Amino acid sequence: MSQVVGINFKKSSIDALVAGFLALILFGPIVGVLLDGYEFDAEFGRVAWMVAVVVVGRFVMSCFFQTEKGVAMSFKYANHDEGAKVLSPGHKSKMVWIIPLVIVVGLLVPFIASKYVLTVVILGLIYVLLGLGLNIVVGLAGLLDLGFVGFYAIGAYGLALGYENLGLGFWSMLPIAAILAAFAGAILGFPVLRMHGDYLAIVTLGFGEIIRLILTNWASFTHGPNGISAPLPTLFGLEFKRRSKDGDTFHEFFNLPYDSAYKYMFIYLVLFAVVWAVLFVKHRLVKMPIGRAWEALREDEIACRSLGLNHVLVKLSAFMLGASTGGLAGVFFATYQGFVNPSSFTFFESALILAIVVLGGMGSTLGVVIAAFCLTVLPEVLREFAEYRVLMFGILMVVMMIWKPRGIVRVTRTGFAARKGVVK
Amino acid sequence: MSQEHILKVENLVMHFGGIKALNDVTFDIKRGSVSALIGPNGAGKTTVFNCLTGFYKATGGKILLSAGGKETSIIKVLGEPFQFSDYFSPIAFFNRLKYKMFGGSHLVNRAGLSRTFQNIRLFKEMSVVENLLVAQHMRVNRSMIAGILNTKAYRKAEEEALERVFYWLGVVDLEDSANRLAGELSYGQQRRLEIARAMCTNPEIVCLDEPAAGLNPSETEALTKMIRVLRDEHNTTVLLIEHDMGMVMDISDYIVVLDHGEVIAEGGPEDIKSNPKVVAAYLGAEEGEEVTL
Repeated sequence: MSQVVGINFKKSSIDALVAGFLALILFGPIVGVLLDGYEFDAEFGRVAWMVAVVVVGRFVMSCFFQTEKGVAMSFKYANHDEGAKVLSPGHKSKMVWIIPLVIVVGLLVPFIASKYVLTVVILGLIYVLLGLGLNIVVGLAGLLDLGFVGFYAIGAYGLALGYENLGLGFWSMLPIAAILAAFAGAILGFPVLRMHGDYLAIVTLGFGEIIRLILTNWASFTHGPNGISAPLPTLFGLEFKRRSKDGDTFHEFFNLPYDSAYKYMFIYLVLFAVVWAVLFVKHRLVKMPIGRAWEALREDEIACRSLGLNHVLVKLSAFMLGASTGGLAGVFFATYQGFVNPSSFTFFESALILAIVVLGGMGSTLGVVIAAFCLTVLPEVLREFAEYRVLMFGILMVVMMIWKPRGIVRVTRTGFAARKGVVK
Repeated sequence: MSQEHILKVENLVMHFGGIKALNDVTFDIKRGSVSALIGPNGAGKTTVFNCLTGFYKATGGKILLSAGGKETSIIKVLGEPFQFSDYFSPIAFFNRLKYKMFGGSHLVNRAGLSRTFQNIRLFKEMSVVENLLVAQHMRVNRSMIAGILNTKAYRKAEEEALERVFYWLGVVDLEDSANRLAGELSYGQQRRLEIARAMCTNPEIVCLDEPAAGLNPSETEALTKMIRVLRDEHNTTVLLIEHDMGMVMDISDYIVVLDHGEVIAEGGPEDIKSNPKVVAAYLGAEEGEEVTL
């Protein structure tokens, strides 16, 4: 990089002026005009302030990219090879120690964190489950599903309605809701098997909305927009309420003072175990014939059929497994909230889950876990900026798509050691 | 059931709307032979291929594949419309319904016929080994519980599949590229990988759609050798579409020439070379004019 002689301040100034002008166009009408009844006030100060930030920022950036360091940095990012990487055979990750560390820290969290932090982490884990479920459908099988929230709703309402109508508790509904959601996945999957890409996205979007509208309008069964309460989990029949109509309560049995944090601790521990189980299953699935078939289907459906794979069953299995994970997440959501109503299952949720999968990296487990925590925990941390949450989302998306279009974590593929070939 | 002919095509007709792509195509492929389907551009070769491999549902005619000890009607497994007689015979009705719902070209492959594509269709984001493992989907242990628990039987099945993978990588000379992404390979390597992938499904007949397209002469030579290995060491029947006449004449036992959706000649390479109809179709020459292929 010896040809870099110095900083061309003229070029930087022009860059800064252009950026400032664009910022003026953009911010002028948005922040410069404040409605006041039928009148409006021009707020030049705010606009000037924002444009000045943009101009200075652009100038500094432009100068930086002309220095040796900046050139090296832009060179590095221009040449990023983002595709999947095949690991060498017998590759052992140096980060294996992190799994026991995360488990230990995760098990300590409920005993050291405050109740508020605990609820935020529970929400994060629920979205990890949702992200993992959608990752099977979108990331592995390549079927763009915009109605994933429908399965989430089926899980949540499954728990609430199962308790109300059949008296089934958390533990019996956990597997039943997963099966119900899988069944719903099959019902959705069967008619849409012939569709690809955009068409599939629209149909699944419709499915998600249908579920929400049914929940809203079938008031005699679902109690409509008023919602319905969901039961808490029990520990071998011990309830986490202050008082119990039948049976013992947790705090009475162990002679502890009542604390509403106990139920969150318990939900957290169960959820933590379920997330690890799902992570393990997912880890195995991608190495199994079914996981390979999903990815092959994503790459080329016609080639798949020419190799004897029944694309109908492969797609259905992806839909069903993804949906059942979504159903599990729904059960935890309902029991954690203690109450469900249809407004929790809007299209925005589907978009959020899809954002988790896209940001994390299609098909990457670790990436989805990180992205799920980022997208659910960050808004809680930045409570003061709550109004700008969606704006922040948008900016994050744009930045990610420019700098890391394939997601946070690069997808790796297992390498296989060479062996003697035998054919029977 | 005829053991001599692995594939019998009778009066195959394929119409796309008003366009008659194939008119009454009839030919037989002998078991254990290397046969070629040639013809000028637009003659309908790829249409025949797509009908044979179940990607198109033929408008009329019969395609019978006798492989794996049974005879399969390729048009039937793709799902036919209901006939009037089906409404009186529940068994026939359910058979047809089964094929209508779950039938498709994958059943053709399972019956023992596999194919490659003119424009390569590999799983580009997957490694070379994984491409070949996907092809063995029907031969490995697909039980979900066994896979998740990583049982002994599952590990054994996977190990056998990997051994087959490395055998076929050896045949197509791609052992060094085993752990690369399929999309990273060079064009010639991708062509060879696609043939290996087709062979991994354990077919009795493999259909190669222009396997030598875009290969240089030495690669074409290697390909010729490989096709001979398939025929001689694996008892696989090979049917290929090819424009490289040198290769076709060199390798084929039997040649079918198509033009305008009709078979204009069939026979051994020597007969075809001297057939005036073929020469005329290829070069547009007057019959009787002296042209050699």
